[in-house]
Amino acid sequence: MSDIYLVVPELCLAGFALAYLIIGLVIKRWRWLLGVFTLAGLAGLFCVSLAYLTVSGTAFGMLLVSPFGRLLDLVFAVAAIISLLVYLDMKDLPYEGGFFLLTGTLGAMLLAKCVDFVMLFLALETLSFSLYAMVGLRGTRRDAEAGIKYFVLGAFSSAFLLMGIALLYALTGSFAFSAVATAFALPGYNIGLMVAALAFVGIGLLFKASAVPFHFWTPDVFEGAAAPVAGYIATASKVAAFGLFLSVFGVAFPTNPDLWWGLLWYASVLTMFVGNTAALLEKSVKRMLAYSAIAHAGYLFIPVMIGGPWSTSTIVLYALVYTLMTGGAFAVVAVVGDERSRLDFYKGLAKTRPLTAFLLTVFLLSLAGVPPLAGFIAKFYLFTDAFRSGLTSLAIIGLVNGVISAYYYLRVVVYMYMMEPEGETEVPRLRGRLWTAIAIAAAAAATVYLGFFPGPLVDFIKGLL
Amino acid sequence: MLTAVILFPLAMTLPVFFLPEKARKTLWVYAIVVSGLELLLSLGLLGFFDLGRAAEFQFHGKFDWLPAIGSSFQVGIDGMSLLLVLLTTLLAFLGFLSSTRYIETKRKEYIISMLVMEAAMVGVFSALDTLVFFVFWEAMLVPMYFLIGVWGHENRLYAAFKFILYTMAGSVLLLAAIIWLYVQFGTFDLVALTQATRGLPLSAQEILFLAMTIAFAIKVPLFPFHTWLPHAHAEAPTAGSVLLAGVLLKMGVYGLLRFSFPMFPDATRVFAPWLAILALIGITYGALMTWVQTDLKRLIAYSSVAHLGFIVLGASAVNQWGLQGAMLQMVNHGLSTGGLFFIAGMLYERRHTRDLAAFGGLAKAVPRLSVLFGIIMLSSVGLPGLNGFVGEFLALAGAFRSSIVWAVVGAVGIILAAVYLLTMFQKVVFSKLEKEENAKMRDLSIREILVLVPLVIFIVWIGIYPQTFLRYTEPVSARIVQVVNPEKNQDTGAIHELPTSESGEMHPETQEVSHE
Repeated sequence: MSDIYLVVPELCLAGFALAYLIIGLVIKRWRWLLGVFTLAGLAGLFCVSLAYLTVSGTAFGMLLVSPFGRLLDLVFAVAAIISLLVYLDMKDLPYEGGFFLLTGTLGAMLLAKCVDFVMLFLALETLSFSLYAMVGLRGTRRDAEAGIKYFVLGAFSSAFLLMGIALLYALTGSFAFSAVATAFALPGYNIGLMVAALAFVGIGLLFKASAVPFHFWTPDVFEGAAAPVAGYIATASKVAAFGLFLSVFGVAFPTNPDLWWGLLWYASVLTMFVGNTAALLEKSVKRMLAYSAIAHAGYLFIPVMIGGPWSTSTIVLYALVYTLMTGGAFAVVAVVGDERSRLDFYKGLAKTRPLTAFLLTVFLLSLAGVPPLAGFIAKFYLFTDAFRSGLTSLAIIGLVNGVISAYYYLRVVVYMYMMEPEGETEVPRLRGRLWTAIAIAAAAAATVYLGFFPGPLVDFIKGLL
Repeated sequence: MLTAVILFPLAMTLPVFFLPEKARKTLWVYAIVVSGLELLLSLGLLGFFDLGRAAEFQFHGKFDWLPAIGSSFQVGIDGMSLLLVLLTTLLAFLGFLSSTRYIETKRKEYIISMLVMEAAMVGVFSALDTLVFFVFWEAMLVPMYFLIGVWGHENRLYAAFKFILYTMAGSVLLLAAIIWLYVQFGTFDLVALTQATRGLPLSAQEILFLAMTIAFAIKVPLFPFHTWLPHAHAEAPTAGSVLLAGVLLKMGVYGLLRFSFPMFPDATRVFAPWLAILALIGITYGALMTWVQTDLKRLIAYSSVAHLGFIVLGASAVNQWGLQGAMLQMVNHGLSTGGLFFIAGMLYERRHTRDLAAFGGLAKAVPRLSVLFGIIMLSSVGLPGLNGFVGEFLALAGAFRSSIVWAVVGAVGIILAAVYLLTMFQKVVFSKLEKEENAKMRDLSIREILVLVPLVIFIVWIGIYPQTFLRYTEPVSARIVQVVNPEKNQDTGAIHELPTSESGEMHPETQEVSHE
């Protein structure tokens, strides 16, 4: 019974998703009600998670419920709310999207908490399948192409993950993360099989986190998917992957860091560099944001490597800030138009749509880590932790990457502010898209506010962890 | 009160959002009034400043910002900061005054950028918390980037990009050093850190000194980090060039004097000669480059490289005269180069060209402009009786104490400065009045005279009675000398020995200020 009490927010969400499906069948005329209904549900999720923030324990031996996990739930809720608000204004999207958004969020919540490989797989597939469906939902050629691509590659990586899990089970006789740690601690384990198992699991997870060299799907999928969906993949899915990393590397492989430290170090450096350099060459804002998401995954490896209470609070802070700015940026992309994501379409946007351009600039500058915006604070914490833990070289590489990334973020600003628009703009006004406008404005306000006054939030997070 | 000076321009950006873009006059009046009030506020600082404690940080303000890691919004100014804050608010005010005809598009954004930048610049000069310093330091980049990129000349995109990427690259080193210090000592408090870091072993000091100094050297810019400067200065709009040259470059030197030198005295003694050599290369190279420029704004930009060389030369002598010279010359350069950029802007407004060959014979056509141009140009040359002379003389005298060779090379630089500036002036103002357009050029309007006259007043004031200003910087430089070169404090002697030999009049009552 007490186990069930631990997972009340998850249960509520699952029930809500089912209710959504049924109501969706009944309501034929006022579809917008469904949107409002979903919004209420996500807001409710936020509140329930907030209420259960301090509850901790292990549920069913599979889910490690802790304030850290619940804080990430809040981040997922924020990501889902931003995506949903943008979604509501896109008339061509069917209502099933709302359902997948809810189940995807459920998957993300479970993924960030699991300490068991069966649960890991289930949660991962719940999340992934929702995302595959969301990407292909509109049924246009581009959507379908992106959806199929995502699905095939995702299934491929799931196969790796399953293989790894099977090997680990063969070695340890248990699906629990902790069993792996125990096996490692014992002398005389089969090192070859262990490394193979680790490699398979690692490949599967790195794919989900879109880390280099398993990142190739990201720009294509992001380009094809509707902007709110791409934003959701870039934020919620990625944050969930890193929540998972922390428990995999914290619980499953804590005693033998040499094996995976080197791996993570290279994954981090490669992901930063490849993400940032590839973004330099991109002429499409959506693809650029995809590579930027890859690069940010590289930064997020740093706290995973550090572990301990510092890293959890850093991950939460970074995840929240990253979600606000990336989600906001994708929301603006949705306003400008999914089909008009080439940089040329942003020419002179500051002249034709000054407010839209200004808000996008806030997000981009924050992504580039320019103070006093939230992105700087998040990066500052991350690199301070790195310095403190002796990862000096990694921190410096990260800081240098920050400068590289400034180039492509600012290039969009150059197009918007320093070039003349070509002909009449087709970009709709923010006024006509109320929900999106609310999402963008709230995200931008939070980005600015957290940059100027990060103290209360940081204290709140640190107080819990 | 200091906090108010920092936040006032920032807060005053909000109403601009609600003003209509069409209301040209309202917008400019608003901007000028706001920056004028800001100037008055900063003059209030001057009024309440306790000169007896000029080496200490006054108007101390402290607010919690990031209590979790012990960073707080902490500000305060000493004599050096005070002068630079005043320079900033003055130039920003004059910048607005000069922009009313020049900026024709996106006025609202322009005013917002300028005000944000003003706040950030004042913030840089008054931050007493390393993290807050860094925030201001970086926050200033974005509005400057917009100023260059949106309202600049033809090649503005390239210049804006080069400026911001170059500076950000330097900032990375600064941030790394700040974080490292925090991890080591657990504080961002500048005063506490400056005490703590002196105990570091030489090897650690050297690395941190280099990290910070490279960041500051890019801003100064010290040879060979100067390549962003000619582009940025030449392409920026007038007020942008003025603030770039007048204030932003000073932030680099300020960083050296506030961070690098007092924090790492042992490393300073090791690297000061190298800084001096780079400064000398900068002086010579900058002067030679200036000589061959045909573009008026690029010419002034390169002359900044040379002038900043003098400032760094004086600073790296690390004695009383050199530091005094460097600090005074920071103000001087802001006034005279700022003035030159204002004039370049006025000429550009009239002729829409910056090519030296397009001008000529202006003395006849526009006498008022020519006279003011002449005074400011001579101040930049370093004519005795004007401000440039005092600063450069002190800097060279300080360098002389360290090495005769430095002083000799530096003196050659002064001669070169005379050569290129007088050549330029001769081409623009005195040669034959051949072109029709030049003959029909209109002379300065009252507004433009109002822009230039305050500068000229200060140029003359510092030139004939520098003690007014030196009083503020003297205790500060004495403190730096005390930290870095305690033994040199004895033999260098106090500043009041100087005027008897050179600039003539100096008040006897100021004599007891020195030697603290």
